[in-house]
Amino acid sequence: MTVPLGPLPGTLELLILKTLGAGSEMHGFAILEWILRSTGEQLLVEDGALYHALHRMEARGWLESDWGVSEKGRKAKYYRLSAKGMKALATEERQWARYVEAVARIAPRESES
Amino acid sequence: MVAFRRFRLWLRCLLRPGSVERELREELLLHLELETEKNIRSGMTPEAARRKAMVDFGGVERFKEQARDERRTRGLEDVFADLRNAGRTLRRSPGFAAVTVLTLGLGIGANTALFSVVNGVLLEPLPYHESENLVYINTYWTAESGFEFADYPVGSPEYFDYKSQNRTMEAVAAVSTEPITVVDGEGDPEVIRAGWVSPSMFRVLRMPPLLGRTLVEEDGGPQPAQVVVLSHGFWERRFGGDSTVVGRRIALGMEVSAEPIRAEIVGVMPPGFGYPDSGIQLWGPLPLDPARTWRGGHWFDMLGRLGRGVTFEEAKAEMAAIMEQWAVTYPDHHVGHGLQMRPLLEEEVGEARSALLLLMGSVVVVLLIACANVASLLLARGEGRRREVAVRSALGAGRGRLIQHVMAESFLLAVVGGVLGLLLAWLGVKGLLLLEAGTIPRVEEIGLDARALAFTGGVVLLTTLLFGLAPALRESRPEAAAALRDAGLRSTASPGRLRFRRGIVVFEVALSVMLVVAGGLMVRSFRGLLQEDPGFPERELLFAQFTLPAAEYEPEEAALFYDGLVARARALPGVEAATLMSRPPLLWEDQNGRFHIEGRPAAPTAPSCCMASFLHVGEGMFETLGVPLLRGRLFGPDDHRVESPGVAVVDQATAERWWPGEDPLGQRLNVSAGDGPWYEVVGVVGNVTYDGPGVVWPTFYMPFAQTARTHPFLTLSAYLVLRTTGDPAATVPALRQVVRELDPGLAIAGTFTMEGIMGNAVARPRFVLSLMGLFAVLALALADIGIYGVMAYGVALQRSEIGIRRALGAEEWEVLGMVLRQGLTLAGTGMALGLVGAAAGTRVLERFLHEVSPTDPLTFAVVAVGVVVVALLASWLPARRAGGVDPLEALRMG
Repeated sequence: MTVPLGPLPGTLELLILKTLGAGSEMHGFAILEWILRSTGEQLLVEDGALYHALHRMEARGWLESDWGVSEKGRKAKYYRLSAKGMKALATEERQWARYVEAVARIAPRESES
Repeated sequence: MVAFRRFRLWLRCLLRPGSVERELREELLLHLELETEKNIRSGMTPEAARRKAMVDFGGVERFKEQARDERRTRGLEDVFADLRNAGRTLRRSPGFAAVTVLTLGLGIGANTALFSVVNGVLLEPLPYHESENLVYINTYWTAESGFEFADYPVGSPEYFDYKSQNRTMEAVAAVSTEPITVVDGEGDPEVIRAGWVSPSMFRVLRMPPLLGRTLVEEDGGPQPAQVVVLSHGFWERRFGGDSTVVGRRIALGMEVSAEPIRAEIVGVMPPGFGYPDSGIQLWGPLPLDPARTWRGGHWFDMLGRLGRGVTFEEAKAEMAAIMEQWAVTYPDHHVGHGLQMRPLLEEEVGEARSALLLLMGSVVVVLLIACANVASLLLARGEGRRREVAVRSALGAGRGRLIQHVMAESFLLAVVGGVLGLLLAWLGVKGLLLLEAGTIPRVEEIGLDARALAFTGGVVLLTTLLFGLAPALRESRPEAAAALRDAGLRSTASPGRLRFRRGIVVFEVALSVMLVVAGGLMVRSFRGLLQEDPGFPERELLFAQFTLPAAEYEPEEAALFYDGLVARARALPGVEAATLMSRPPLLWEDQNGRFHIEGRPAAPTAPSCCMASFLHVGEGMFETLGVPLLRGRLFGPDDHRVESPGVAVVDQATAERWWPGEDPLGQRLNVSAGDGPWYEVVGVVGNVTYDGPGVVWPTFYMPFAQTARTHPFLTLSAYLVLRTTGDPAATVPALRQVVRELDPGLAIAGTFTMEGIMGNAVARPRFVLSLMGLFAVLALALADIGIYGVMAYGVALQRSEIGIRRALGAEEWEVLGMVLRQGLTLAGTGMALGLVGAAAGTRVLERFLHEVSPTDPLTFAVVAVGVVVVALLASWLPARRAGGVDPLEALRMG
């Protein structure tokens, strides 16, 4: 089933960093679709929240953006990772792994219970 | 890097406020479109697909608000947006905008204009070096001396004694003025006013000359040097600004000196210098003889400069001590009589001070009312916005953002109102200067005052922002969002706030009532002044002033000249009668005369017993002027001869004051300090108000011809009086021709119609009245706006209640009556408070009122009725609107 993205701080940002981590350039809708698909449509990311996160990260210098034309010929704003964003991705990933590991010690995974 | 990126975004927001917003919108639009397409692909109808896209997004507007806050670039981008928005909303309610801006503008304009005048006249220092150290000195006579003169000139022994005895003055000077006739230089012969001063005056004022030198000590003394210093204006006018004028001689025809004077011009003063006033054309040394010890004569004023480090109070205390000493040394002269000093600025400003302070007080009241009105208007406005603010708040706008949004409107109003205020202030100062008609001293110091503008502007703008902010703060509270729900479409204000606004209106009405009462009293008083009977028919009278140069006219020659003048003037077409008198009514004040009645004890400090003005008159003066004879007889032809026995005619006031219960006829008096000839009283005539409209002062008359025996120089100056059949001013050219024929070197010193003189005599009351009236009207208009505002607002608030009443069967006129009653209650409360305040406060008006009590019942009654009418007018429109409420609609809305 689909669960709404929880209140864990930085979760959405990490997802975005991961999405753009391969060096691709995407607009907001594509990022959203990609997250949906990659999580097996398990996570529901709120559209508004996504754009907030994008703008926040851009202001922080993790993302760079540019106006381009989408595959269907529409004007779209494309985001890509900056050098700083790459570093952030590494840090965030490490932190996330530690976090998940720590939580898993107390709350075992569904499959294991 | 981050900072730079932020800065770039901020800069873009700033330079192209629309672009960032537009990009945000485009990004969202693309998203919604793609989402919609996706939904369609999954089998939805396009409409449902779009709706789902919107719902999934979670509120586009909410997102935008948050995004805006996220950017943290409020600063100028938002300010501009808010200002544009405020401009739009204001354009949509032009009534509110216009009334607020006008109120602000009038408040700022009136206050700044008047304060500029007050500042220039009362507060600006005099144009002399360290002018705060300058003092003016003259003498007083208290009742103890037998006379009562608050201000009287100084005599030379007093001058020399004080000069040698004081230790607090750096220097003192004696200053008097004399009319003199000038023939030299360009233009016709003319009579000018000259300053006859001790040379120390220039040292006291510390004023260096423009050319040559000023008077120096060696010029003074009992036989002063025949030298003069010219004023800048005189030098330019008569000598064309010729710098070689220094060293030349100029002939001066002086009234008091029988010897011709050919004075050497030793210097020229810089422009703007003029003491004791700007009308003085030249200065010469005043003869002052320390050997002269007779203390009975008083003929000049004094000026002093405080010594270094000496305060005014110290100098004043020292002077009081010296006066105590004099009272012991000269018991015959200085009991109840002596020198007194005051700061020169105070002397220069004189009586205008109280009038200006009164006006200042009035205009401050107007300012208060304006502020109250603005506050009331803005509070109402704030109420009206509650929903809008609640909506925006619910959509996610931050608190600071909301406050800024609401304040933008106040700010815009304040700026536009301020600009209007500046304009009105500028016009106001110009208007005041046009209106003052010579009644304000030091007008040359008056200009639009930046500090005044800053102050009043600040007060009003602060009010605007404050009362704009109050609702903004209240409505932007987080719980205000709840208001959205419970307020819904219903009324949007609590009764408590309405009560507060009603309080403001009551306060406004009370203040304006006080001003209107003051204005009303002034009007009554002024009407009284205008209707005051001067004691003779004032129409068709012309006065021409003559001052014969003593150097050219012996007293007998002067008498001949005047005889010829009167005879020829009588023969002029349009002239009914002609005569001479020494002083026309109302032209200037002079209550300094003293005389003695045979058989009476002298006053303690002078040989005379009594006070009165005396005039010298030519043949037929009473008939020409139209002064009625009450008892005895007028002067006959035989009385107008030098050798005939001395006779006098007294007026009714003299008879009543100095011969109460006695018959003045046959009594004898003299005016020459005890040793002159006696004049027998032969008649009593009606009073003439010489000193001002409605001012009766004991006066008596003596024939010109007889004056020549004791005061020959007095006969050189006289006013020719003409009673004409048509416009008196029309005879002036013919009169000039007559004078030219008699003496080509002689100038008419001035011509005055009686109506012109009377107009000048009431110029200051008229000035004060016009402004008071203006302020009163302004105050009332503002209060009226206030009443209207709160009534209209109250009706809007009570719509549902009114609807219920109507639904329950109340007639239209009943609703109308209910609203009018509410308006009248407001106005009535304010009026009652105002009338009480006026009764308590108008005492300050007493000195400005002429024969009207400060609690004049008629004025109070008229004001009361007027305010009721005004309140009815202001409530009428809202009442009509209330009467027209459709019960169904109002109930639905409720």
